[in-house]
Amino acid sequence: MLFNSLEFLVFLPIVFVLYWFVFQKREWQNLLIVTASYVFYGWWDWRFLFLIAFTSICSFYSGVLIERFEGSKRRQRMVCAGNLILNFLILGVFKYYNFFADSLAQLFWGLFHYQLDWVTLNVILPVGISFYTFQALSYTIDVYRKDVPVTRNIIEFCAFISFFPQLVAGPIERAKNLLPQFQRDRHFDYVQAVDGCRQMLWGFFKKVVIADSCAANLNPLWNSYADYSGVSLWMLAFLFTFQIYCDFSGYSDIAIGCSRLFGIRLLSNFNYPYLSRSIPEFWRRWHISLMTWFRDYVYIPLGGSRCAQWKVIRNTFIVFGVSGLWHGANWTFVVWGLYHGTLIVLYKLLHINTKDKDILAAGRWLPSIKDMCRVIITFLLAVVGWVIFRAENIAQAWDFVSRMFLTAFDDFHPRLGSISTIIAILLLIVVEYLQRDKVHVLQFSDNRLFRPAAVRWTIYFVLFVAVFYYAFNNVSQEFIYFQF
Amino acid sequence: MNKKERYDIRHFGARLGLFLLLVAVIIGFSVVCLYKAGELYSFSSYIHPLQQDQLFGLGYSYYDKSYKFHMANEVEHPEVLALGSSRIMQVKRSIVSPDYSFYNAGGAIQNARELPLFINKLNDSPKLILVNIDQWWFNRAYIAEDQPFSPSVYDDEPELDMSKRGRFICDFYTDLVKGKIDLTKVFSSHHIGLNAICNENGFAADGSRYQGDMIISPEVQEDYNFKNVLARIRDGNLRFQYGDQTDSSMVSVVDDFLNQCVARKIKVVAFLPPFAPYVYQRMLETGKYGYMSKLYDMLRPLFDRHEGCSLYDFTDVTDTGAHNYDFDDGFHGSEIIYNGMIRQMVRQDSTLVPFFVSEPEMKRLDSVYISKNIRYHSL
Repeated sequence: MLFNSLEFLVFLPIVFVLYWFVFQKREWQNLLIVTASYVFYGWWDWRFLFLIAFTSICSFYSGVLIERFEGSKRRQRMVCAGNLILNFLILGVFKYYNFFADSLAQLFWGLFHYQLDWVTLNVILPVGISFYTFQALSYTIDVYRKDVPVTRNIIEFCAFISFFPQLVAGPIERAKNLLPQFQRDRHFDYVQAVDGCRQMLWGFFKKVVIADSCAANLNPLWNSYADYSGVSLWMLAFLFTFQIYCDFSGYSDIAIGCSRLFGIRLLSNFNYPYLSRSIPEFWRRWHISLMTWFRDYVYIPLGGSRCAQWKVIRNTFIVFGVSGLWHGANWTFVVWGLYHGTLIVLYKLLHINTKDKDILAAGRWLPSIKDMCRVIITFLLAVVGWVIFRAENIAQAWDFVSRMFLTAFDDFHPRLGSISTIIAILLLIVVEYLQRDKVHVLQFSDNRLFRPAAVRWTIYFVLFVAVFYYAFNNVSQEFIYFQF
Repeated sequence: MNKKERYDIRHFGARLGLFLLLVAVIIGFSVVCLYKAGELYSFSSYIHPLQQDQLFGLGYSYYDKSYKFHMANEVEHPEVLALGSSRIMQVKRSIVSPDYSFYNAGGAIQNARELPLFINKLNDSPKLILVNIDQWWFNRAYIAEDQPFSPSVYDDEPELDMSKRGRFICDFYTDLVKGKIDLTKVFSSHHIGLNAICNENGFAADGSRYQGDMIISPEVQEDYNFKNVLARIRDGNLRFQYGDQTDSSMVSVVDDFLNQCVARKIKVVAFLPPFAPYVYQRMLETGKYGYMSKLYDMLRPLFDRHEGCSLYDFTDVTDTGAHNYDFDDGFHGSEIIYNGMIRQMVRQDSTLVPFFVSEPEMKRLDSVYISKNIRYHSL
């Protein structure tokens, strides 16, 4: 089920009413969440529910076993490793089998002219498999490390793994944050619920109005990019830059806002990444739940930053290479990851300040010229990265990027970027900048200008109408991150 | 749930409800208007006889093919059937003898391959089919680019899904803002569809096309003084693709159609429909429409081989004294042009006489038309 579907419009109120009015006890609410989540996921393909159930059961019992083998580190390690291998195996088969089999077949053909077609199968990729698998893995590792206590209630655990708002595209939750919320009574919080609705509305606006409009402009032209030159290619790249941001952060906003209706708080996933002053800062603000996952479970165990410089560089490349591969079974994702890894290493080697922790132009209207330049450079570096990410293959990525820099800036394809799409993008940039210290841009009740209810309601209404209008006028696109 | 929570959740529900109520009012208003205008009905509810002065012209759905087929097949059962593309829609009931039932299914056919399909699906056999054979149906370049064809085109009933209905609401408000929709007309008119209600543009009870907006304000029409068609000729697109070669595979399609008609004892009178003289001259000047001059000679033997079937060429109506201003646009003649064509056919083929009104009556119809002093163009 898609958030931007009519089914979800019916599904959500039903679950909400059942959750607060019918199943008022915590245990029943958890059971309702599991059931609703399975319905939500099964709407796409019920067969893959078995996969989620299997992952949940294996991870749940590995936690129980780890606790049971208290005192025997070796056995605990074996259980933990066993569950990791099992999960990676599932992920490997469903997500990467086609990729590696095709690569192997191509290699054999290239080297020996031998057709290795018997290794290639058409394995269907289950939606959101990387998200819930990583969530399950984090639990097992945290239990092994004794960072979280073992849960003995399988319904609570299944609710943690399959909680429908974030099941298919994150944020990738940690047991430390989400599991305890299923273990205590939830109370309806008016302020949270209202703000959750605002966050959902903004998420829908980003997804339906901006991301889908960008897609409508971009998709028909992308593959004929060779017909265009400089300006048009940059415009294509900008459109995809905003499409992917609004698509993914829009999903996260809807997921977080939706969870708040059920008294559940999810981790933040985006923090205005295009206002970053450096690539390392960009990665502290983009897909936060994934990057913190890699930081905690890959980068730090490898030694993190507290080791020899060559090891730091190695660790950085490993993390970004793996995070690229996490995004999908295509070399373009790996190269995209390594491209960002290289940039981060360069920032480190050149001793460029990357420690910006505060928000851009804190306490001021406008950023300094220096910060402004840094934001623009970071943004442009990200744009080039997104071209690699979007390309069908490495050759196309290279050709596209070369043409962006080497062809004349003398034409502009008239179908690129309709006026309404460009206005919506500009609106996004302005409001995100103005609201950069807020969790989401519709948190403006502390601003005197927006305090009157009539003003706020007018804004909500305009956004709602825009979402409605675009939902029926654009071809509805699946969320890009579903494929990951 | 404690008392405060209960209060909070009610408060939340009330605020959300109020917001959604506002949204519902906006959506509801458009739904009422669209429903009143007849835009939201299911397809099957359109398939019934229209009142004498009623028009059917939807603004947001395009059902011409299915509508005309189902009307002809299930409602009208005509003895004289006008069949073809939009280039036969101008033939009206008034030119056909009152002794025969008539329906104009113009718009049901968009390429030659649909002709045998239509006749195959038609339950009753008309006595006479008057059919236009569009020239570009045989242009290889056009066929290669433009011709969508589905063998199930007359089997399926078009459906309105939620997404389409939602889009209608958006379109409704867009058109309302642009001033295209007159709400007083929506609530007072008995026509079906916003195009019929607001533009007086749609199919009449006999299936012929009525274009009120064109009569009222011809100068704002897209093809006023043929500027749109001339642009197509310049660019060689949108039915006006250049071509020297005819597609002979389409001949066998027409052959199939004629065979079926002969087997069902249906008389067929086909014609190559007219272009406005000014437009046809421009086409000749390009020298890029060589296929057109070969068409009649290619098809004529085919019609001669089938008993009761004849073909007329009205591609060039310059000699008949047709005026440019009597054409709706570059390739759609108006009622008077078609009446003139029919008169000519009846003169040449006496077996057609019983099917049409007498010559004096035809002249009277012309004079009625002329008295309206309609000028679609200033050329």
